[in-house]
Amino acid sequence: MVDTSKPEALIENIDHTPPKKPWEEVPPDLSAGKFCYPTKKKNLEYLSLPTTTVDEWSPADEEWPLPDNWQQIVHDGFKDLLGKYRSLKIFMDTCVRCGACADKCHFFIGTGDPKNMPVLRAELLRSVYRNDFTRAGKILKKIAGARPLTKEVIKEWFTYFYQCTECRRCSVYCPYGIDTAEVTMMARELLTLLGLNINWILEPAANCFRTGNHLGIQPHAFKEMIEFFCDDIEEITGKKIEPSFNRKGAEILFITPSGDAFADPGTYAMMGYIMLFEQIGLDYTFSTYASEGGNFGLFTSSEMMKRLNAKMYAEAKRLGVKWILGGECGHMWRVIHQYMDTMNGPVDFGEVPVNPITGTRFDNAASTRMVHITEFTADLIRHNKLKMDPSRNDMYTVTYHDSCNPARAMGLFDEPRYVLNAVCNNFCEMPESTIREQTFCCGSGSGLNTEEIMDLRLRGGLPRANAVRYVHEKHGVNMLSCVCAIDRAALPPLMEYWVPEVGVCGVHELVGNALVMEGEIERTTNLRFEPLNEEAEVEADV
Amino acid sequence: MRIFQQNKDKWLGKWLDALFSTYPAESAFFFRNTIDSFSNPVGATLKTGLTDLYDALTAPRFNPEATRKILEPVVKLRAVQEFTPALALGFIYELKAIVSAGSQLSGQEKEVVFSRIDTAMLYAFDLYMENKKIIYTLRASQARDNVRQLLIKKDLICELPEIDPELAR
Repeated sequence: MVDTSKPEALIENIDHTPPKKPWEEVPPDLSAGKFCYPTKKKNLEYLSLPTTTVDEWSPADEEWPLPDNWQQIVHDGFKDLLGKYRSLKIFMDTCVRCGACADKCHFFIGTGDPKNMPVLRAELLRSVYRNDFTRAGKILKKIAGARPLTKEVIKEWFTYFYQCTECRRCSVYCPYGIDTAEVTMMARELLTLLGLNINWILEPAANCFRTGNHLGIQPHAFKEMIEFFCDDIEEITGKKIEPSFNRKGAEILFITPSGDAFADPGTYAMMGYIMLFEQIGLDYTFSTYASEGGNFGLFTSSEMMKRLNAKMYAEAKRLGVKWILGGECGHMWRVIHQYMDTMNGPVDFGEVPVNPITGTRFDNAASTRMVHITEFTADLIRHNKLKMDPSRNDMYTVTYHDSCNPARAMGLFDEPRYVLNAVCNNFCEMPESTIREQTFCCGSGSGLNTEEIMDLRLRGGLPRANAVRYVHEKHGVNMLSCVCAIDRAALPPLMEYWVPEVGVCGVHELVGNALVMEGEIERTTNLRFEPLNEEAEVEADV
Repeated sequence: MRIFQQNKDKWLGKWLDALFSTYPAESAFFFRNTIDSFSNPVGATLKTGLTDLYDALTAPRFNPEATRKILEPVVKLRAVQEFTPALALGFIYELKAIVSAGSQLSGQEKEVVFSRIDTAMLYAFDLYMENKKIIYTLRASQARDNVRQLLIKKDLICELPEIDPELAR
């Protein structure tokens, strides 16, 4: 007979206790499946960014392909950033480690990894700051919380700064207002100086630089895709729509994430935009060059962000439009609202946006010339310019995920809700601590929406999914709406894992469903070609 | 089975300790002590799950299906966290060691509950693999859909048309 151990003995042999070492001595786990794939060298070259020393490598490799003077490069880069941004110096100096942010990060809440506490993630950078740039750190070294920059530190940075979605939930709770997302941005900028960025960020950025959008969709293909949606709209509503492209002299340029042009369910939101514009007779045009709202420069470096942002404005100027209407995008709005004016302003085209249908002047967008689509649609609804049949969305009980950037970076809380309440009969909120400025991230923002770290994304998205599950069980919610293309790509797998009964949609998909268009045929399906009014699962009392 | 109810607080407490000790100390403290389930979904899921599981394993009548249901959210969570399979599910067996160390159980009581724990472990193993499969499928789907939808829309590949069964005859 084979000599096997008893279960109790086996259990005793399993060590459940994680090592009790100081955080500095716990190396990052860079085994396969634990990291984002690094960028291909050609993306760096296309964007004129510093490169690694070899074409292909893996973070699992013992030796990383860094140039000989890598330490000097990072030190000089850090010094440069500290000189440029007073905010960075303040963020490095002022943290008192009160811990208010510690348990606010969705990655910490979901993973339990202490280095995902925002305070400790920032400490990864601060410790090097103290060592290189403060007198106390230079003299007292470890006692003052300083540590030298080693290759292990670089590996740790790569691991944890690509494990932060820059959602800024932690910043909401910081008594000093330290923007930990900006700490991550700075760390990524330093890593990029060594060519250490990830492919899911750099490839879209390079594509955007070349073809104008993340996917590398060329102008004719972009046009054909929009026309493809128009065919679908015609089949559903009987209305033939022919949007214009690159039309000079249009009043408005419409820019949305390219995700809305190629990936479900964003495509339904795109159909919603097109239907809305047709119904109100908006004088607008698409651009096949500025065919991307997203700006992955935000996750690369300030210079890259500036260059990609400038493209939209150059196109607006070239076409001679008065202002830009922006679609449901996440971080595009952070760039527009918080950085664009400093980087590329003041705007040298157009005029302060005015809604041509209602006459409303969007003074809040006076300096950027760019209005959010839910502000625009809410304004139309407020002035009774749209006829809605919310019962066409009766198959859904809808909740709303405040996408991090529009919520926390531009304070867009009420407009989407105003629109949702006008276009559907069944809307309910998630718990207060998980919405508005306290909203939980989808777990895949800031370029982390990549399949190789799917389990990390599912862990990070748990707090969001947990709140959705609550309203699903309590109120029968079966549709999670949002205003961000990354959300529309990231939330479906998140729901599939944690709450498979709940779908994901853009707000303007629901607008498109409810919008009564002049001269339309009787609709029998929604924009997803699902039959209307059949087996409505909605409870009347919700 | 009365002894399990009498010692519930103590044994369940130790069981939870064992489970939370699989996380780093700072995180274990947070998971254990933060009450709000929206701020702390991991702690809430584990605490509720283990309490219900304790009751199910020590009930006068064992309901395997109900036990499986209780295990679902707990295993779903452990399957997506960074544990080896043994570490992810090993906490279930810990109950054996806890009750063995702390009591004079009758041979029959011990046999019954230990056998239920074994059953629960087998369910947990099934659930663990089911969840892992979902993760692998999601990963594969994303990689495939990224390209496929574009190819279809651009008519670079075409799907087989729907065939009218009447015409096919």
